[in-house]
Amino acid sequence: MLQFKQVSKYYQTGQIQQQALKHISEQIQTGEMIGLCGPSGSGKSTLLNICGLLDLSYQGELYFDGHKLDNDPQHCMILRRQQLGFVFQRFNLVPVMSAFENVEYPLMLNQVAIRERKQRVMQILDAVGMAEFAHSKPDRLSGGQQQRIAVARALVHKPRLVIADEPTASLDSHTAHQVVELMKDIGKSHQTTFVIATHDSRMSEHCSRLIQLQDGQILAKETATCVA
Amino acid sequence: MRRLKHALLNVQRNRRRSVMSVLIIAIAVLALVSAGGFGLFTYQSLAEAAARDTGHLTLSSQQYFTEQEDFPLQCGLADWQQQRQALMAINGIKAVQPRIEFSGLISNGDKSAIFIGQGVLASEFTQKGPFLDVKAGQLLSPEERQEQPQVLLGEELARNMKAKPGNWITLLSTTTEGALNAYDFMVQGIVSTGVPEMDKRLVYVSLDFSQALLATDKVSLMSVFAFANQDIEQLKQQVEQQQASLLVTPWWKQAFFYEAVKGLYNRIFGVMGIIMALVVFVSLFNTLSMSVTERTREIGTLSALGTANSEQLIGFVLEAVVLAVIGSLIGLLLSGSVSLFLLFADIQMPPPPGRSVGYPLHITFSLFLAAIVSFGVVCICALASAIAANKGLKKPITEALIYV
Repeated sequence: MLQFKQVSKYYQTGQIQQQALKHISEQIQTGEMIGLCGPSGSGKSTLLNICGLLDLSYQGELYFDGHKLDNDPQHCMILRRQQLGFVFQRFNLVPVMSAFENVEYPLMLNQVAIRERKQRVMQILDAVGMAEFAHSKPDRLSGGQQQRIAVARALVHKPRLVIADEPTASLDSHTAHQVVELMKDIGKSHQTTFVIATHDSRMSEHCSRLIQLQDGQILAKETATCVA
Repeated sequence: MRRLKHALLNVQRNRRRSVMSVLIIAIAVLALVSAGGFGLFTYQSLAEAAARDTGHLTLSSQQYFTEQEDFPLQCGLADWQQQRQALMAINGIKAVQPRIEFSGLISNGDKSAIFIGQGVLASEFTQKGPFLDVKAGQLLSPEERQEQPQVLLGEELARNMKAKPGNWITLLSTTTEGALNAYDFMVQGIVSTGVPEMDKRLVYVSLDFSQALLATDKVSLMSVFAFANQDIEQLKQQVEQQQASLLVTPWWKQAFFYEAVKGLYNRIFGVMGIIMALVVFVSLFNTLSMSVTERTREIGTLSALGTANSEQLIGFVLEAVVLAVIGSLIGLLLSGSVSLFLLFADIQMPPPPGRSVGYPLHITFSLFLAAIVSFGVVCICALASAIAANKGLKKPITEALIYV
């Protein structure tokens, strides 16, 4: 599904160049739920941004479905639109759109017909238990409800890969558990691959595999709970 | 429709800021449409006055405006009666008024002064409408009812001659043969053109008495008055075809004051328009820059989801267009109200330089001008928003997503 070959990333701060990722090579299989963990500054977010095709200025090679990515912004934008879903720590819902419209947005970008759009949005809102809040604006919803909507938005267009950045960090334990279960359930039925950056042990317990990063390098690959 | 709905909702996010932007746009539109409307009213008034003064077309001999005459009416029109009759057959011509321009000395017996005379048909006064302010007495009687030769004097000239209606004065002029000739005229009225310099010399007499004074059958020129809404350029061509030997001069070629005022106003309103456009641009740019900065994370999110920059740009431009349209509508409404108010509120402007009477302050509400100004404001706002949004859209997605 996703393969890194000797991926490195440098940040330039004034005269100083910092290496955030050091020759990362890794392969992620379809349907996996990968947890990226490690302390702050370990390179989790950088690797997540590269996985999500949000950062194209890296060195090395990245393969998506066996095809090497050429770092063309237009091509990556279309891949993100069609094949990727995103869940952010702070939900990042569009405030002027209702819950329904937020979830519908990726389908609109993919030019899905109106009738099908409506059907699929209501279906996934129902699956995340938010059907009755379809017409509510995000500021009327609790954090947990907003994250459910964000999960629905990330999954509604049946992406092959979902990138989640600390999806449970802003949620209480009960809601966090619900959101993770939700992602797993919906993801399982569509063979969706998840790459999740997390500090949260509750989240990492659900991952099929963990990649622990430190100082821009993979420290360990395991199924055990990450050390934050 | 969805984009428009979201643009409207985004505009409502920071209401106070949007209201300020709308107000600035409305004030700019009000100022531009009102100033432009005042200019249009002035142009129309001056055009009307100029056309009323000289007629829409002036017919003269080819040399009349270019050569100095050796004797009075050397360049006059001899066959003017036939020509006048032929001209009246052309569609669109309301009237043709012959005129003699002459000069000489005016005397009350005790003192003399130079006058500049106009020999006209009495019908010209009703034809032209109220172009003279009658200060005392009456306008010239129709020729057939003038038992004695009548004269109208300019206000300043009458004061100089100590003349009042009913008094007699003598006009002395040179005939077309070069001899001196004098006629006694009864003062029928005292008038003012509103230009004191003109009123110092102005004399109106009947056409036939002026011909008698100059011992001629000729007239200096003929003024052609067209019906309202008549295309003057087209009429000019028709008249030129019919009267090939005559020089046909449209009113705007003689209206030097009109052209000068128009040139001056166009420059003033042009500069004002540029300043207003800059105010709107800076204001909108500031508002939208703040809005774009506040929504940096949202821009990052939408980009991450696969929204093209151009699509997001359209959204921001649409927001600016919404602000511009609302502001323009309010500005136009205010401008229309001001125009309507001035129509009923008889506010007088002070007399322009060289004139003794003011004029009513009116503002013409022109739909064409309103459309041009509104379109301009919409374009400026769209440009401001495009520049502001472009700055935000250029930020890398990873930076935009963590923007606080």
